[in-house]
Amino acid sequence: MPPETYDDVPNDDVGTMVQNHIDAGAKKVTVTLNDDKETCTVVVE
Amino acid sequence: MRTGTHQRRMMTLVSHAVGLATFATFAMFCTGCASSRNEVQKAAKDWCMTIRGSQVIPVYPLTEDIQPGDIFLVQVPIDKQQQLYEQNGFLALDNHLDRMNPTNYAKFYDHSFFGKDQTYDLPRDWIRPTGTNQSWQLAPHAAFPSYSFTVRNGAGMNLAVPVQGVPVGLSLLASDAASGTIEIKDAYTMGVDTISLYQQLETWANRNADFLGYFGPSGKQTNFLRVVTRIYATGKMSVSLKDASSRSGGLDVGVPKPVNLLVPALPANSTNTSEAALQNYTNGWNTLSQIVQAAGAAKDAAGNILPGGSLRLTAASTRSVSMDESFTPPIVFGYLGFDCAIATNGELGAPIPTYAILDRLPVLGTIRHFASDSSAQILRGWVNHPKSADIPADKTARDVTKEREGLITAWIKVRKADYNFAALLDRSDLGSDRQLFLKEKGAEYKITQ
Repeated sequence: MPPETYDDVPNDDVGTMVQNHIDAGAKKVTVTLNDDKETCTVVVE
Repeated sequence: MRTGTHQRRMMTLVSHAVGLATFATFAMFCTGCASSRNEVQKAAKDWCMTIRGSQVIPVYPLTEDIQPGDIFLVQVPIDKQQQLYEQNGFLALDNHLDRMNPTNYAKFYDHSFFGKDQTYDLPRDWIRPTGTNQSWQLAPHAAFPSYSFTVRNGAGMNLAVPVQGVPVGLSLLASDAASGTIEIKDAYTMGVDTISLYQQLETWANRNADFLGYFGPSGKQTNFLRVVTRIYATGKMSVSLKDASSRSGGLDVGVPKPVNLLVPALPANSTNTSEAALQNYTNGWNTLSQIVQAAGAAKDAAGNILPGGSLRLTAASTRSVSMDESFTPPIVFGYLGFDCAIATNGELGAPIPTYAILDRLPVLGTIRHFASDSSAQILRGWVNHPKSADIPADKTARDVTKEREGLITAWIKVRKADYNFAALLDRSDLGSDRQLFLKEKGAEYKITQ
């Protein structure tokens, strides 16, 4: 499946989100801090 | 006696020379066989990489019979497609499902390439125009950079570059190593917008939902429809080859190379050297041109020239040869398109540019928005932050989280939905599903805010 990009994940939720998607079978999860420093962009592959 | 001994020695030397030549030929043949396949694959890949470098997906082999609106079924997973694309440089267009006739050409070209108050029935009126207009002449022009390559070990005759000027040029040079360039000239393009084509595709998919239903997702396998939106055609390619072989060993096997015709020895008793040289050059040139034309013009039983390229010599020397290969009519060498995933019941996903899928660009794929509604917060809290009272003494919070992930997965499975539990927790577009889960399972699982 094509990667899915979540473009506005609050920093507080990133940790559990990454863990959830890895538990769900994601092969690769990339987190990039957004310019606002409050949110991240998360690409799930 | 002395003469007889000399003759025997000469015979022995000749025998050795013939043996050496035979061995050399055999060795070259074997080397050529062993490396031929690799050379062909490499050449095909190099050619396709050049076309890809111009942001165009190569068509291989070249064909006239591909046009905007063509629909192909792609059953190779994306990662495998990327792997094949990197290995071979192209993807086979072998599963041609249907051909749509794009209806938006008029609007697309109305203010540019269609004359005022003129309408064309595309692609026919550009590909096969009536009257004096030549094929593709009315279409928008395009330009591409030249393509450089090298060939070795006699693989040239089987070279996979889809231009016959290359093997013909190599045979003229009689070279086991050459470097060259191919320049795509007289390039044209024709296309139509993605939006109108996607709308047509949706109509087509509704009409053929039963058929597409066979190709819905199964397990991790997702099938795609690939639709061509733009094609690129060429009417002429220029091929230049330089002999890059080293003959320091002095062993020549086979007949002298044809381009030596350009530098024959002058008549010993000639009084007008310049005239004789010119005449010799002209004769040699004419002979070479005839060889090239004979090599490039395939004819049927009735003597008619078959479709394909025709060759014309443009320059030659003892170590280089240049020629133009004309394609009449022009032939398609590349395309652009988009892919749509086939969902269950034959429904289609969003159009994604084929180029983005194949080239491992930093594809964002589907853009999702992180859910921040109350149902998402409740569900994420329940899964990721179990209350102390809910954690048995023999388990950890992580164990409970995994169990709850499993409960959500089971619920999704019963509903046969096409997402996983993490998506249900995080995707903003699944709010109604989260609410349904809380409604159906909230009390049972004691999910509270």
